[in-house]
Amino acid sequence: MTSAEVDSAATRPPREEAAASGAPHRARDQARARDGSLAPRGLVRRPSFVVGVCLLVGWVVVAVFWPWLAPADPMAQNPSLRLLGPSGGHLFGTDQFGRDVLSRVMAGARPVLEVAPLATALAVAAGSLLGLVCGMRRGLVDEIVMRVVDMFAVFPSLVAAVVVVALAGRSTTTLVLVIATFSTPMVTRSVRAAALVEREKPYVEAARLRGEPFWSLLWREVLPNVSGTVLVEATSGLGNAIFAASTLSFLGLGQAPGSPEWGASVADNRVFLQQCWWTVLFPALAVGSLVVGIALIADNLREQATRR
Amino acid sequence: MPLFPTLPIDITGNRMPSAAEHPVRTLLSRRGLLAGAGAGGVAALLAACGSSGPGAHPGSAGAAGATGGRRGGLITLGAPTPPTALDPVTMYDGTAIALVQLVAEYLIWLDQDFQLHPALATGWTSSEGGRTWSFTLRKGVVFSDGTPLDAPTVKASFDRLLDPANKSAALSAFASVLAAGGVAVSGADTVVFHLQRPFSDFPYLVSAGNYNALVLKADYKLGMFAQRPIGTGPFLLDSYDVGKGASFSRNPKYRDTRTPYLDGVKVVFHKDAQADLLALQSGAIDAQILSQADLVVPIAGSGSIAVDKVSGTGLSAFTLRVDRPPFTKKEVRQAIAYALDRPGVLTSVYNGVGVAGNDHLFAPAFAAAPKDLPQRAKDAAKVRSLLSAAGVGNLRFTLSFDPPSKAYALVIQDQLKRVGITVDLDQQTSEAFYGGNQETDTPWLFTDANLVGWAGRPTPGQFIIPMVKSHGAWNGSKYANPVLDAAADAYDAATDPAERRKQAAIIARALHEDVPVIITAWSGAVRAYRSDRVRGLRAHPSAFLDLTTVSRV
Repeated sequence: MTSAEVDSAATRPPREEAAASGAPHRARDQARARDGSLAPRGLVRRPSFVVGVCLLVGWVVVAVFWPWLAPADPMAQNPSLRLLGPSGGHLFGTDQFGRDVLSRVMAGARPVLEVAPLATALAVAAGSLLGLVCGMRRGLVDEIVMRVVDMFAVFPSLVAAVVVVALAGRSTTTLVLVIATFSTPMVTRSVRAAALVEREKPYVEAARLRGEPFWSLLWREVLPNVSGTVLVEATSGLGNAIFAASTLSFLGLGQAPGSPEWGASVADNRVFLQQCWWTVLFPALAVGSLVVGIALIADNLREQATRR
Repeated sequence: MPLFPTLPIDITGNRMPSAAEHPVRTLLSRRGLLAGAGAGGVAALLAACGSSGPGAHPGSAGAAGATGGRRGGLITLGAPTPPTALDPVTMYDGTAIALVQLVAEYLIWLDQDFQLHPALATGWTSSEGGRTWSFTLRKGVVFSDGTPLDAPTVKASFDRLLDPANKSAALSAFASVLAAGGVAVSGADTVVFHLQRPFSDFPYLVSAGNYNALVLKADYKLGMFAQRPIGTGPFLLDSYDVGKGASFSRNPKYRDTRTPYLDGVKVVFHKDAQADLLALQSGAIDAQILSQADLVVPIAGSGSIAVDKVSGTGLSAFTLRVDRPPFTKKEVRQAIAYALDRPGVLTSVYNGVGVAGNDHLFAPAFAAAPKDLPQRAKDAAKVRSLLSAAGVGNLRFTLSFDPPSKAYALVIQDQLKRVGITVDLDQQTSEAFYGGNQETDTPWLFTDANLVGWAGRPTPGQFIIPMVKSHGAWNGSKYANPVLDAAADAYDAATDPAERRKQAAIIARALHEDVPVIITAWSGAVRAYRSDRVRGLRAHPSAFLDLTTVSRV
């Protein structure tokens, strides 16, 4: 073993040790768990994490299976049943068109959970790539990208999103792209910060000395070690994306007219807030519960990552 | 955060476009087509109105209204903050109109049943086949500063409205009917109007139906009403603050010594309708000037809150392009009309305030409305047979509209879906929907199917001429029917009520059969008040305000 190899082994992070020694992945996971990493075993002991997961999974199940779960057709109007309060026949009451609010809340989960995860995935992918490149490469590319990120940071993203959606026209694709675009800078900044830390670590220097190509260095060495940051950004970004999608729908720039999407439902019924609170409260609670659930998950992931 | 600025409230209590709006939309939502309206008139009715006895005040329906009511006391009204200046010549929002109507008067008052009542004019006659109209002024009327009312003063008021430099909304009402220089005086108490063409509904144009047509002093300075609020009306404007409200006291020089009953009126401005409603519920105000049916109907009867309802002539035209497939076939248009559940529309869209429409432009409130045309109702079997006859298997089309018509669009989509017709909704911003070129591409006139809201009009000709007459200025369906055109012209010129009914029947049948526009309902209006505090307050189709016979309980 050369001196360089000795140094490298001594400074490798747990993942590198496991890989270098040829140990199975299980050994690597055990090492990460001991290290306070993002292993599920530590997280499931946290009640708030479990509550968050239950809320998220619950809404995902509702979003997928609402046609079988909803007690009524969420789009079917019935003028004779307008604005009925919660009762045995309609647990969440009915809206101004006599539509069952419970069914609409259930159906409204699907558009929310179509747009937000897609937008978040795009933002995390793009933001992680940019953050890693900027953090590892530095130089002119980093300067340019970060100034653009700064520009996004000082500009109110919701206002910009409203303008873009209004100009581009209302569609799911537009919503996804707009939310992803305005979420990307935050991910970029966080991943870049993490990459800057990793950049100075000996294992990166060792990889460079080994002559590992830049993209391989990013993908194989650095990315796994900033995965905690990426995961935290993804979860908190998902909550923000849900909120953004609902807000745009509330402003009439999201889903098509009549959609049961929660933000749109709140907007459509807000004039009845004083007289028929149930038409607004339940969609609003739905948004709140999903965002809170995701926030609980993100908080726990962040806390766990901080312990590493 | 709103995408667009908050819009003002129009005279029906709905949100209006901004002042920089499209000219057509301006007319549609504010007052519309009083110009170019059908002539002809309810001559007998007008003559009867003209002979009403002296002493009748503008707002009340005769002396009966002046016999009851407790004298004295104040009431407090709530209203949205007026977005336009308190100027009788240029105002167009509901709050400003209502406030000015407390201070100044018209020659004729238009009541909640679309009946004309003498106000500053006690009678009127036409000559030259409806081309010349003479109005006799009430004697002994003085302005609040003591200046007597005379014919030159009335002439000056109308000359002011007809001057394009003053940019009065009333100018469009007089277009093609009365031009500048067409007003003359004949003695001290007779005003003569020389029209450009026979127009037997002309009294409506000098009534409250043309809400800028208030009689002001000859030396009135444009935009100075809030500073020098001089009129002949029942109240004096004591103070006005656009950020807070206004206060009024009884006019001691008012021409009717028995009214008003109230000593004064206080008006509080609220930023939005919800705040106004909360003030009513909490008792901070006794009544609303502009009520929204969707907000107040659900609380009617709760506590002491009462809601007065009145039928109106506002409509939402479901327009079908007769020159574009699939609507080129009459059977397709009829099938859509038969697919709609009109009572359901009334309930869901208009909160039950209004009456069912019958796919023609004569509201039941219009005197000439045909009575023998069968009411069209939902008939799924007929829809299938008509579509089959048209050779249309799966009917699908796009319906364009702007946000105020969203509820109606959703109801149409749901009702047509039940009979197998698919409607794709194309919601546009109001700016986009009413934007573009009126001659070539504006969506509200050039999309295959659309919804356009029309504010109420006092006469049917104001709908017929622009909307369905061949090459009408706002003929979005592109409908052209020489029979209807001839009947519309004849209706305009007819002075005999029987002849007007005959022509109205021809027009109504043509529209009912050809269905270029589907009229499922005529909207009404509401006004909410606290019944334990206020007596005699009525709703008005145009949200006009008459407090002469209102009193405290």
